[in-house]
Amino acid sequence: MFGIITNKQQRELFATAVNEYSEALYWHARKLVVLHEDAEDVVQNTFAKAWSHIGELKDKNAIKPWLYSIATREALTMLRRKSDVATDEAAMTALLANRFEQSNDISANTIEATLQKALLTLTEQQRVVFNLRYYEEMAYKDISKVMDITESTAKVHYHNAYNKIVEIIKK
Amino acid sequence: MNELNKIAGKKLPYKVSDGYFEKQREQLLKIAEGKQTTTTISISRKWISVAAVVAVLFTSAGVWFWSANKEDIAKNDNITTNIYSIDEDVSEEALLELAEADIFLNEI
Repeated sequence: MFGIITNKQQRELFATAVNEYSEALYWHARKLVVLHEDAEDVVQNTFAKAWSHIGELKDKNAIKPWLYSIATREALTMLRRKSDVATDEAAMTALLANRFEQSNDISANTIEATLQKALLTLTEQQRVVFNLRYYEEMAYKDISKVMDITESTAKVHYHNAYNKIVEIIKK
Repeated sequence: MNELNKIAGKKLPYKVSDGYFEKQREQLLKIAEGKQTTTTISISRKWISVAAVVAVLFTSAGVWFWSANKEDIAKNDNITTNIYSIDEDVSEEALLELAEADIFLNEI
């Protein structure tokens, strides 16, 4: 009875979030987990969690980094759960490379595919920061919120990731 | 930092079927509506529980208050009044008893 107004507002905010960010979040998740089915699950879980906690969001303008933060956590947790390799970066890189090769819905032998393959060789943090900065053009301030790191750390990760990728691409 | 953009651009090699995102949006909104109903029901249940607890508390308090008053009434019924006459030769002991009884009655 007392929740009707709040629920209505929550529903409107949630609908806006779905309409504005679901597609972008899918691509963000896809870049992290590679497989379509997993990216789909990440988006579903992200919005299920977002719905449960959307009432706690004090600043509506912070919804974008908030959603990306949930989606990133969901994607990385899913990868760890499926990989049995916990946080071993080398094993994770191998797993992602394997996923990339197995996928049928990828335009292979294109520069985009080469860039994605290069991305999969980065560390987890570098990969997330690079995706957010390069593809989403997110401000470092927001990236620091998504990743729960400082802006300076985000800049360092991006710088290192960028140089590593350019090096691989140029080979 | 535009070098990479010139070389590789921002396109992704991944593909999805046509109309996928429209279906995805519909599904996501449906899930939210399902949870919305659940949330409303759980809120109603919460208020019903609170009302039930409050009703039990009030009933318990009422029963306790009633039984406490009943005990006091029973006690008052048992109080016997001793009548003393001033004209009679009253012992000091009896006067003390009378005074104590007065104090007790005044307190009540």
